[in-house]
Order: sequence, then C-alpha cells, then structure tokens
Amino acid sequence: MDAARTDRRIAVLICGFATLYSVFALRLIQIQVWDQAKYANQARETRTLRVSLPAQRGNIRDVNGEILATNLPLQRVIVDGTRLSMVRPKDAPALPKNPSVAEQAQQAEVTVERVLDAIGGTLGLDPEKRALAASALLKSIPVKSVRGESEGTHPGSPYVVLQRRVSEADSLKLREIAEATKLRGLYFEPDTRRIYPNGSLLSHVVGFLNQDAQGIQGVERTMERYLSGQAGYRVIERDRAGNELGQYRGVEQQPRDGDDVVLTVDSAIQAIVEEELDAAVRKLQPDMAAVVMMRPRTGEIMAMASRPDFDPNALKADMGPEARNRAIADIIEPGSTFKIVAVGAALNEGKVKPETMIFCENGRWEFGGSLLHDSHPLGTLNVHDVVVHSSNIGSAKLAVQLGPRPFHRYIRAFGFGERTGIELPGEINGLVHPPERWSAISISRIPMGHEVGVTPLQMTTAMSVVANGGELVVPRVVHSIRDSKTGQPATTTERVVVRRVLSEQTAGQLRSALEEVVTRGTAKMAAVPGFRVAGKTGTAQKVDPKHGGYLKGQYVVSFVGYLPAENPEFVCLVTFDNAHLKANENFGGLVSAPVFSRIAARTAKHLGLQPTEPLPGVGAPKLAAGAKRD
Amino acid sequence: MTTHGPPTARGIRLAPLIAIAFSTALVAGLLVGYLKHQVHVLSTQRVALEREMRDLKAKADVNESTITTLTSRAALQLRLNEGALKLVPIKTDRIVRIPAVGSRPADSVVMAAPLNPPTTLRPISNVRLR
Repeated sequence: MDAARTDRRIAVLICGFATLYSVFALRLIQIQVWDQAKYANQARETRTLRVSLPAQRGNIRDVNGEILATNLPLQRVIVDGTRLSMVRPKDAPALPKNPSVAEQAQQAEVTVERVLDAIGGTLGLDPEKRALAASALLKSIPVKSVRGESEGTHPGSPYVVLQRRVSEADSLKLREIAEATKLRGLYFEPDTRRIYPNGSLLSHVVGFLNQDAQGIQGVERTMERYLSGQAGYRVIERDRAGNELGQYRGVEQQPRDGDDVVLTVDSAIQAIVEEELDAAVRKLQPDMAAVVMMRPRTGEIMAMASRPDFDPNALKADMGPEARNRAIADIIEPGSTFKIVAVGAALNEGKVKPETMIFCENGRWEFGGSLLHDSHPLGTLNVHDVVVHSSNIGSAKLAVQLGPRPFHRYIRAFGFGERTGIELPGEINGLVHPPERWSAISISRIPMGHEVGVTPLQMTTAMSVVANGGELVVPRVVHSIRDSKTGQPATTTERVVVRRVLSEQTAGQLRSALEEVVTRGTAKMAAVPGFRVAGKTGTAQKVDPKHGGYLKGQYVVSFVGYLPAENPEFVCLVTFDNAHLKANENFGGLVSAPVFSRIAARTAKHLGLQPTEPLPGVGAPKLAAGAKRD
Repeated sequence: MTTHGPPTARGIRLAPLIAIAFSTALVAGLLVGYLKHQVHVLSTQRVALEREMRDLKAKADVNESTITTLTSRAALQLRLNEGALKLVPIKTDRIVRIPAVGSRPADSVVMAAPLNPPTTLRPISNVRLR
C-alpha cells in the first residue's frame, strides 16, 4: 500500500517536472524559432550601430589650379547618453541598488557636472554654453521607471552633438582626458570647416556653405552635387565600453569624395580687377559697383567682382546686400552702351550702311509728343558717327526705321530679357517689355538704354557678340570637374553658341565705330597705351524703384569695351551705381572708362599680350622687344 | 532462449574512442578559442591602425590647408604690403616669346613650328637678372 502511494507520488512529481520542462521547452521554441527574427533584431539594435563615413568636399580651384576653397579637417564631439559614465571617486557615497527616479536624476546631474568639469575647459565652454551642454547631456541620460511611475522618466539619447568643429589638437587632448578619467560614451566624428584662403576675393562667385555644409551661394551651390560627393557607412558592433569590435564589422560602403571644380576665372586677373575696383569704390563711394571680364570667343568668365562684398571666412548672421552678386542679380538701365543693339540691328538688316547720313536734329527732336535730347547739339552724322558721338536721336531714328518688332527681336537675340545660363545661382532675366506694352515713345527711348533693365553680365555678353564676330555665346564660370581620386578632368565644359546675332561684316562695321569711340569719341579715357581698344560708354539716370520715374542727380555709369580691338582677348564691363560725384562729372566716359583702362592695361600685361600700337615716347613697336611696359 | 549480456572483451572498446573524441573536442575547442582571440586581437589592431591612419591623414590635411592659407594670394599680398616680400619686375626685353607676332593660337599652346616662320625674329636677352 505504502509502496504504491510512493510510486504515485513519484509519478505525479515526474509529471509535474515534465509539464514544467515542457513549458520551458515550448517557451524556448517560441523565443528561438517563432520570435527569432524579433529578438535577433532587438539584439542587433542594442549591439550594432550604423556609423556614417562622411565624404570630403571637393576643392574649388581657379583656371591655374590655385585653391579658392578647401577643407580644414576638424572633429565633432558626440556623446552617447546611454553609456555616459566616469570612474567614481573613492570617497563618493555608494549607489543604491534600485535607484528611484529622483535618485537616477540626481546621479545623472552629478555625472554631467563631472564630465563637463573634465572636458569643458578643452572645449572652451563659457558659462552660457556650459549650461546648454549640461541641459543637452541631462536629456541624453536615460532615467528609467522603477515602480511603474512615468513622471521624470525619459529614454535618453545615444547621439548628442556636444561640440562641432573641434580642432584635431583639441580632440587628441579630449581623448587623453577620456582615457585618464575612464570617461565612457564620448566619441568623435570627422567634421570639416570650409576655408577660403583668399578671403573676400571672388567671394560672390565661389559662394559659401550653411551650417550643414551645403552650398547656398555661388559655385558652392550650383556645383553642390559634384562637390559634396557621397557619404558612406559602416555597420559596427560595440563592446560595453562603446569601443568598436572590429571582428564583427558588418556591411560597409566607402565614401566617395567630392570632385574638384575648376573655374574659368584667373585669380591673378581677379586680384587686378578687385584692386582697381576697391580703389575706385574708395574714391567714388557708389551704392554698387561691378566688373565683369569675359573671353568673347568662348564665353569664359575671367573675372567677376561686385561691391559691396563679404569674406566667406567670417560670415555674418544677417547677410544683407553684400551677399548679392550684382553682376547677375541687379537690374540696371544700361544707358548708351545699349546703342550697339539699335545700330547693330539696323546695319545687319541692311536698312542703313555705316556711311548713311542721319540728321540728328541739332540736339532736340520731338517724337511721340515728347522731346528727345542729345547731350551736345549734333547735325547730320553718318551711322558710324552716331555711335562715336553717342547720339540719342540718331540711334532712336535707326530703331524707328527698323520698326518695333524687328528691334525687339534683336534685343532678345542679343540675350536681353532672359538668363544667360551661367552656372551661378540667383541670376535674373532682366526686363524687356514686348512691343505690345511699349508706349508711343518707347521705340525712341529703348535704343539709348532706357525702359529696359539688364544685368551687367548680359551687357558684357552682348558686347561679346560684337567682339567675337556676331555670335552670342553662353557665359560660363566652370572650366571643368576633376575627379578627386585621379585628379583628371571628368567633365570639361565647352563653348556654347546660342545663335548668330550679327553677320561678321556687321560686327566688323560696329567694331570700327566702337574703336573710334575710344580714339575720338566719349571714351578717350578708356584708351590703353600700345593697344587698340573698342568700347562704348553709358550714362543713365537712376530709376526710382519706389515712386517710379528717375532720381535727380543719381546716375548709373558704365563702360564696356574689349582689347585688342582687332583680335579681342577679353571684354570688360565696369559699372558704378550712384557714384558720389557732381552731375557734370558723373559720366561713363569719365568714371568707368579710366577704371577700365587701368584694369585692361594690367590684364594685357598679365596675359602677355604684345602691344601693336606705338607706345608714348617709344616709337613704333618692333615686335614685343621694343615695348617697354614695366 | 537467447540472453543479452555486456560486450565481450573482443567487442568494440568504447573507452579509447570516448577519450579520442573528448581530446579532439578539447583541442578543437581550444583552437576555436585561440583563433577567436587572435581575430579579436588582430581586429583591435586593425581598428587602432585605421584610427592612426585617419589621424595621420587628418594631420596631413591640416598641414595642407595651413600651407594653402599661408601661401594664398591674399596672404602673400599682405606680406608684400608689410614689406616682408619683394617683387622684382621682369622687364619686357628679358621675356622670351615663342609665338610669332599675329600667330597667337586660340589655346595659347604652340604644338609645332609655324609653317611660314617669321622673317623677323625678336631679340632674346641673355643678360642675367640681378
């Protein structure tokens, strides 16, 4: 009887154990088989980390390879709040086993204070920044619920950027401190600062980056996809201290560094242009000034500068007018420089010949119920001299003879009223109204550069049409894209001809007149000793943007010309908006032309152009040898 | 009637087999442990080496950007204005011009001698610059 009871008890016990182990086994099967993916993911997420491998941004270089924008390697200090800890001092009170929410929060505060005491000095944290850092670190340290309470708990954060742009030297010091104090949860990521070695030189063209290292101005913006490259990544596993376990390195993709962008601009010429422009701006105190220099055959921009400007190494928080590239983003009334359009169109259409005589009404002509004046009374002039003496009436008569629609067609053909397509952001169309919106007197005012708005670059491109024999070319500032690894050009930009605007014969006729503008016309001060120069002055009263009409005593003066006239190497436009001068001194021929002359003379010397005309006091040149240009 | 008894002395002897299996498992386990440790050591070295290379590259990049800044046009111009540098002008008669007058090619590169060489050649100065 007792034996049977014992057997029963044993059997019950065995059954109980069997049931218990079956439950365990089933649970094990559930974890290992059914929920395998879930728990594997959970484990992976805890241990593994996908770290970004940033790509290095490409450099921007001038046409000779001189660096205009490059990177200074720095470090970014990252804190993993879930791992943040430091070795505790020996005299510190022991930590409770299951700390309450309040105790955890207090402990987190102590840890943050100790961490910041250790590294705050190296990071250069002033009291204000230290308070901000402490707040961020406190939020990153998790405070867990112990008895189901939710108040005061938070999950923490494994990624808090404590400081950006820490120098390499400081990052080494921080690593040493972290090692000495057994500080865990402190990491470093590569960071960079964009530096512009030439400061404000070419700042509007090169541009600058925002806080997230994305180009927001200039070539930095338009060439962003080439410059930025492609970041890579690496999946790693970390040990308890947060160090990478190299043997468990997972999927990896190496970053592709950004390509170098080579500009068409020559820094030496740019420096000449900016030096002369600065000297003129100091003297004339204009609201705005711009210079554009372009190779007329290819459309390559050799220099581009505007004032006011800025230093991209020291950007202000509130970048205002100085950030605007006036050469492409400002509308000006071009004044008489626009006469090349009316005269070129009339000659090209065969309506007139250079020797066709035009009566210039002795300086006063009533047209459309309004009087049109010349600056000096002029009688009968041929078309050639209409350009040389810059007759408003003569050019208006040519446009009238041509008719509104053909004239408008030529204005558009010269590239006005649409973007040139240069690789710079913020370019505007300019302002050219269709003939339907012209008033009765528009046909007489537009030829002298009123009632139209153009950008300095458009005007330079239009003059290039005359200089290169009649073709409108797309101006371009990017010469090539170079592969960051091989240094070889990956892409090279090419000359793009938009259309033929004038025949070569017409361009030649216009060139002849423009040469005489410099030798005996309104732009004698644009002459460059030893060279034949062609160009046109422009003086336009400034438009009142608020009330309409024109501002009294305020002028936009310009000169656009090219050199050598017979085989142009460059076209250069110089313009000043509201130079502080007396009204009788504020003319393109007196203000802009001398600046052009100085820039052109120095550029010709830099390019090694050989003088073709007698130099003052030297006599006829014997090739280059006789020319004393130093 | 048959009886089943323990294997006879002439049957398979399990003890040595168990000993061999155990030894093999022991050696294999130790080998796995050793190799795992080696992998860990080598990968730690690899990570350290990668970090060292990264630091070296960063240092080189810092030096390069410092050189770029110090030799930039703006920096040199500043040094020139301060009088720390001096420019020596090269006079025109000391410049040798390769292309003949009027035959300047568009790309500014002369790849071959002109078909019709100019009759007048410009003098070349051999005077040493001072």
